[in-house]
Amino acid sequence: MGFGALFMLAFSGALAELYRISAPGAPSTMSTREQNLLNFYLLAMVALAWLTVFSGAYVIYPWYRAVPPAGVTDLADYPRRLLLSSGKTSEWHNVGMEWKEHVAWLAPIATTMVAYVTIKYGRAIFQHRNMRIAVLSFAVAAFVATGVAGAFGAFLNKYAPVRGGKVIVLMQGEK
Amino acid sequence: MTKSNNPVETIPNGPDAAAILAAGIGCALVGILALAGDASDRIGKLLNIYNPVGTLSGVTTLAIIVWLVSWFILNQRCGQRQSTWPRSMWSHSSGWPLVCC
Repeated sequence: MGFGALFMLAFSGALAELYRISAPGAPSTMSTREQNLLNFYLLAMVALAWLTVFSGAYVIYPWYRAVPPAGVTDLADYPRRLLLSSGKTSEWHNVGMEWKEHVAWLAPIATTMVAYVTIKYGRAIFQHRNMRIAVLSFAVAAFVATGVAGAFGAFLNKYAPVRGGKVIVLMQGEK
Repeated sequence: MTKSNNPVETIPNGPDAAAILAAGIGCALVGILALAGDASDRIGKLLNIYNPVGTLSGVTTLAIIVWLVSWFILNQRCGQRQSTWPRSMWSHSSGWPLVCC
């Protein structure tokens, strides 16, 4: 969650900078200092993106989907089973978590590409309209994917209820 | 025909094209494999390469491998040349992650 929050925060700066250097009327060259700063910023974002998905998938997710031993009735420590145990919360897993666990992986792939292209081409890439559109589209898609994953994560943690918060019915499940 | 004085136009856009297309392939594959793993128990079991994480481990590992391999191959094939891919190709490659979402 820490990596993801930092990554999400960094996005606004990256999108603003990518748009700024690609906007009509922007200077055709960047100073070495500006280019180095942007490169460092994007590389930090790439590192945060990969740390977020790997820590989420291989540290947090196994805990989330742990199977309770036979006879256990208190499912508080088994979030997936807790959500699936009631029709009022089951769709938080079937829709929310299923979306969250997959869509989040689009962000590091897209961010890596955006960073690679921006570092390799610098300001030059934005002279090519179609490439500029493609790179900015991927950056926006990564931002949306991160936002969706973060929003579902926040709801799942706070109100699914995994922590005993108020039950919010996403969709009525069968059970 | 007017010759452009802009030096930017002479920079090969092949590596850029390869990176964008490979990212589109990787993103699309995450969605396709996730759907396949949910739709078929057999595929789901094949994708379960690390039990604590379940099918997500196989989906993401395979997608990352295909993404990197396709990036490498595409970069080898068009890395030093100016791509003349049509505009619709760019639109498709940039739209893949959105479709996948």
